[in-house]
Amino acid sequence: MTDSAAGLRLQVVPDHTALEPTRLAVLAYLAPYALSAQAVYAVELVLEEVLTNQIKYAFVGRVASAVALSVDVDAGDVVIAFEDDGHAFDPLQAAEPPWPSSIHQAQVGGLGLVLVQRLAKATCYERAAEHNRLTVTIDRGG
Amino acid sequence: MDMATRDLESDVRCIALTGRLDAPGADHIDTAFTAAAVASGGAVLVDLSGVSFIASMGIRLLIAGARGLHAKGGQMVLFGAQPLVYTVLDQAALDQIIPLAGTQQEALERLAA
Repeated sequence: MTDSAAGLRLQVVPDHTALEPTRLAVLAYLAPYALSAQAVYAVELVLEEVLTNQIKYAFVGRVASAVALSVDVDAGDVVIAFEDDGHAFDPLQAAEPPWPSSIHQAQVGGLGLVLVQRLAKATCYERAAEHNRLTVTIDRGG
Repeated sequence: MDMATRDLESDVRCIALTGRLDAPGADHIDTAFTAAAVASGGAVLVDLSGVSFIASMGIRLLIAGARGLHAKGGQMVLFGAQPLVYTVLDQAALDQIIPLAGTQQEALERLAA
């Protein structure tokens, strides 16, 4: 775990036990920036949804390696990037389940990634050199 | 993540949730919440006023409870969500599946409607 001048850099073990320490480390890093409550909420939701998705799916059938997480803050935004060497997967293409109109139709798979896209200002997925890289930009003001 | 259940007048059960309804929080109360909701078989209000955070796993928990209750002929209404929690529930269009009221009184009125 290092905190460079460029921002926070973490290697996150893809396991559910890593979620809470990662959340707390990111919140501690962001504390001096006095983000809006909406922005902090969005950061926490993005961390949980993306990391949970990577834990579940990125390394199925292969040895799991750490997810490289970076958090940077500029004048207007918080930029969070997740990079892993797991299976090629574009979460932005997977994230639009049909909305149910009744409780009987409710299929909630994929909801987490939909929420990420709706709370983020921008999202970007790249696959390069056998790595997935998802970048999520959150407005500091919410 | 804490959960408290009390029975209101006229066979309405109220389940108050307190804390973070994130993945660990939802996992923590999963069995107890579903059992408390479904076992009532009638009307259940879920008080979200003490919930400071909700993500998709928490929403799944609410839907699973509501669906189980519905299958037994019951009905669930949520109420009291804090503004940021409400925003997420709204983005998930949850109110198309489970009615979402502002106050306990409004939730009771939704049950009667």
